[in-house]
Amino acid sequence: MKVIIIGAGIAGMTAASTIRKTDPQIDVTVIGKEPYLPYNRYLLTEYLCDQLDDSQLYYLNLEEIKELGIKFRKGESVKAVDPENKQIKLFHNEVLSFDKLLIATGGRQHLGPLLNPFSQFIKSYYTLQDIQLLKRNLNSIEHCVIYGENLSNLDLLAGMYNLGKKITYITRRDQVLFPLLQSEFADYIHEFIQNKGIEIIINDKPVYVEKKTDKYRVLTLKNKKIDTDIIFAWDDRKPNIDFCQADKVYQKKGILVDTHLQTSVKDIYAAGDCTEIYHPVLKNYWINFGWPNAQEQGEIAGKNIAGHKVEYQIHETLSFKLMGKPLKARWWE
Amino acid sequence: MALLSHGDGIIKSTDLLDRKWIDVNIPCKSACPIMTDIPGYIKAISDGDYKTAYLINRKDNVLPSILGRICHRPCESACRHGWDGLGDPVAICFLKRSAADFGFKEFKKSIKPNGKTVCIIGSGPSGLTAANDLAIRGYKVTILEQYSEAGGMLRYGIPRFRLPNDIVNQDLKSILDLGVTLKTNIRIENYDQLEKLNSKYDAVIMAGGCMAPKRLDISGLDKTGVTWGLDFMMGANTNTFDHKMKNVIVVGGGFTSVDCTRMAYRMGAKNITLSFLFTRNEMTVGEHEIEDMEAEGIDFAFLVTPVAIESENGQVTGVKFKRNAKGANNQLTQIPDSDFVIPADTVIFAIGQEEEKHLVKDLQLETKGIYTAGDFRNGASTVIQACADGRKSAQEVHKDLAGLDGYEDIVTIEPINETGRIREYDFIPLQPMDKIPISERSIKEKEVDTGFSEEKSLKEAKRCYLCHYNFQIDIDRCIYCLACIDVMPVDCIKMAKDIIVTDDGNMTPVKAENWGQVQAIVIDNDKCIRCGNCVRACPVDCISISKYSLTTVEKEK
Repeated sequence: MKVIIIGAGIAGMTAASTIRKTDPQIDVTVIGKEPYLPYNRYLLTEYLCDQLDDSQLYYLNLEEIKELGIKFRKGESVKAVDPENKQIKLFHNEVLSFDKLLIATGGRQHLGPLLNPFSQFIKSYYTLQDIQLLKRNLNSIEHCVIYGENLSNLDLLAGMYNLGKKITYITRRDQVLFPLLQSEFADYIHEFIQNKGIEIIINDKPVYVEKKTDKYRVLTLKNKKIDTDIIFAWDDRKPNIDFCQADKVYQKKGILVDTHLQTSVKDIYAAGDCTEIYHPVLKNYWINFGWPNAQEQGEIAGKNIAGHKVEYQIHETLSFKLMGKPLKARWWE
Repeated sequence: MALLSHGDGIIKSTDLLDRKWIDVNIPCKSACPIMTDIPGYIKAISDGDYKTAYLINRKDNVLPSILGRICHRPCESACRHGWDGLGDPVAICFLKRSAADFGFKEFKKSIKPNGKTVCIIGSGPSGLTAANDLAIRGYKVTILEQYSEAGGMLRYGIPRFRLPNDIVNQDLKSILDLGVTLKTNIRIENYDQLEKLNSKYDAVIMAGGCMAPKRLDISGLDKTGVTWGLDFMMGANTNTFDHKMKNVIVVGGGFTSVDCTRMAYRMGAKNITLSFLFTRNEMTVGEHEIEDMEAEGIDFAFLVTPVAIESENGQVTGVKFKRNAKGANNQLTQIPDSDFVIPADTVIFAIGQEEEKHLVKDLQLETKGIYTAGDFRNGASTVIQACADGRKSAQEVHKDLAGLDGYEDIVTIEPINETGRIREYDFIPLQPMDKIPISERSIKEKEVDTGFSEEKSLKEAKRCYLCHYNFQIDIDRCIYCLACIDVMPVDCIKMAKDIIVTDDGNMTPVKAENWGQVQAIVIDNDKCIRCGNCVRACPVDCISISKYSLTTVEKEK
């Protein structure tokens, strides 16, 4: 049996090794867009702050991948899925056939239509490449603007603060708030950040960006002007599923899956940040962003692809265990 | 088959193969319900001739300024520039607007009256198109309109921030100037009135559109705060809607529902949610409209079914929904125990419109000698589809009153020397439309799209592949030197061992595997970027370029 996995993040790589360990007869190919070996995305801020070296960043090296018998094609991306013929098309038009397919392309930081016209001036903070570029330019950055309410914004705030940069943080909400349910920290985070000397602008959002020689000027909805060296902004996170426009693979915001992580097409599975699943407690469709969930789903999808029947248990409560570590220790010490 | 050749090399053909060539090779034109000569006007724009561009539009679709703003753009999803690996489709619609913005011109026609009279009921897009076509043919046309101003949906159903009033007036005037009489505030309500009109005029066209909302059967529809999409839009457009709104839910996934959310935003609503049975992919509006909604901060609730309207003291307090699951073949099922409520003080149902049934009852108007047109005939559709049907209806009237045998498509094939296109144009990125800043979006009459500048229009027009030019190699004269293949910009010229022609006129070359098999050198019009490199390189001048255009002519008995 030939299995193709699109995406070499934690969901895709976990699924690949699970499949190979469950049934070594199965031929597994992983296609990863980024030109790197699989890395720990949650360590990127430490990496930026020089708190760890390159080798700690990667969780699998070439020998280990070889030993697992995974065919790993990095630096290649998929542009179309053809469920009828069980084929995918790569960006350079190569066509690959599969018996079973796993879509594990994750998510990305997404700019809404207002900021999108300025995307060339706005930096994202998500991939190793983003961080490497940022690291190279750190010396020329004195001040940065950060906008958004995701956990990755908090991560970035901490990183830039630890590097001694001046920060202006903009939020749409009436106080600084990150999705940290059931955490005491969430309640006093506004004060906490303020006490660190970070400028906070509430109830506002950037709407226009101008380039001024080597600086940028951000204009907000309430007509504030902020001059800065670098802008990090994103409105929300979005699954990376643009390549999968096959009508038969149902999507909402993400790819819709059942509790076995199978999509609406038999033999096509999806796992991690790119999936959306109905949650009976929330009474809503739901994307469970984050590393631990992606790892868990990768393992379950891998087992199911290898012929087992494992159900993904939707957890009764939503808890953001931040990448497996207590929040305070991780970022602010 | 009839081929009429003129001295200057122009051929007029009724050959079905030539007609088929247009359908296959000019995807934008064949996707357009009214078959607008799209490459024709885009070429005129890239030559800087906006007046000609406008007139090409005015001839094919009679409402260019309007459609250049609000058309649902079936052409753009067909555009070859958007095919796999070729980038984004050309901004055809915005270019139509540019043609009208910079080239608007009085549309003059010498009309010879034929003494016959036609009455058209309804002054929407289908009525106006029919009026235009009949007036040009010499008919004395009278339009009856139930409201105080003409335009139908264009005037009342589409918000002004997408289609300003003076733009509607501009296109309307251009039609009325042909000698069409407009009578407003006249409502035809029953069959007797229609009958009377039918005896007074030589022909009557019923083009009353779809003004009645489709109803939904859920509890609480009688509560204060529940309204129907078109009623809301008309009320907002005429400043007669005075219900205060804060939290608004719009139910639906089509054009009107999108317009309702954006209008609610301009009328001061704070939280606006669009709820739709299916997902974003199944919404019947263009992606650009969804993006405009997102920019204005409108929320979405997909895969939900409204099951009840919640109320307190007769006032709406929210809508209870159930979540849907999508099964095989897009079948929806409601997920058990998935009820949830979105709070709202206003609920707008925009789930479609239908014709006013009491006018039709069980009568088949067509059998009573009354013509029908547009949405009244076909059910709710789009502006351009209504225009196309108005044209069809006018043709039917003319056929019957003038005693014609019918109509016939004529393909004009005209030799040309140069296309003016170069490979570099393929790399011009899609020009984005400028929009007014979000801070000005609370003004409900202020148009959001500000239009392309002349410079931008020119740049965008250059992107068009000009698919109406046909490149052909005369095999009898070809010496197989391959000079054309040496200079081809993309993989557009092929060595073939055979060409298969199917019954319906599709021509598919079969690629030769080796020199020994080569029977012909063919140009693949699907790949050709109309640059003319091959024509310039050919030593024996065996490659020709011809321009294909389409006209419909009357066939006498």
